[in-house]
Amino acid sequence: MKIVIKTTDGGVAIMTLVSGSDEAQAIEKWKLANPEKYVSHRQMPDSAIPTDRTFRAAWADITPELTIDIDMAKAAYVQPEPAPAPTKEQLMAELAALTAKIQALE
Amino acid sequence: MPVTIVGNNTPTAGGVVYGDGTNYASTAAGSSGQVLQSNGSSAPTWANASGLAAASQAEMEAATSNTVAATPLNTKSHPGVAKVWLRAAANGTSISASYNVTSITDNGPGSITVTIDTDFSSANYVITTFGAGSNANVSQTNWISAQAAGSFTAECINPTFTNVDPLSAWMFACFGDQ
Repeated sequence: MKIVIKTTDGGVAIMTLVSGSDEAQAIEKWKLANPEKYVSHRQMPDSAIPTDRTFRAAWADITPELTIDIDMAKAAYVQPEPAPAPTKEQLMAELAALTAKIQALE
Repeated sequence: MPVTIVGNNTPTAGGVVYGDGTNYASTAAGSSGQVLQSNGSSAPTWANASGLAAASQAEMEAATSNTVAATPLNTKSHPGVAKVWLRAAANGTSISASYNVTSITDNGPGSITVTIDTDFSSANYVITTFGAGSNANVSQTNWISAQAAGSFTAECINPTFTNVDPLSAWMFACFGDQ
């Protein structure tokens, strides 16, 4: 079970409680570490939380169903993180592969 | 040579024979668990065994006494001991291991809030944090964006100052007064 907190920016925060912990107290402490961001919260099953986080910045709780929605307006601005620059070893391997292909053509 | 016990030649059951400078004498039997205590040149006596008393929270926090004992219960009060620690998944939705934590919250990409069970006495405590994972070409930095006595929020950013999830895990340890 997760606690989905609606935030003032239109997004959601997904709280995971440690077994036996008090939900109301955890919410109050979350508010102290996230001033003026709380709107409301409700429980959702773990299965309602997407496993693909590509559009995490566009997650929202808009519809009444127990599921995470995607704010399409925000999703349009989500840019995937650029791939890291290749290492010297990776470039050398690519060069070797290209060299082999060129030699095969000769 | 026969040993003469003053007053009675029948040894006392559980008693211990000692010398008084002139004759041999015997102590009375002690009680179960008691230890024999020297009284210098006087007759030894049985006394209750006494160990170190457990240190109070104040004594643990002062960390100066050498005459009280640290116990499993009060060791957590010592200033050199982590009061909170946590390893959580990079997406902030599951906990691998933790101590004194009640919840974690995935606030969005590269942002997590941790709530504490037994709060610190104020917001003035130390948080060390790392993003676990290995990739020589990825540089990430964790920083604390908000801190209260019973909770804190951490962010993970890349070189372009964009929030991103850590490569494989969030890790925290907190030190301070409770």
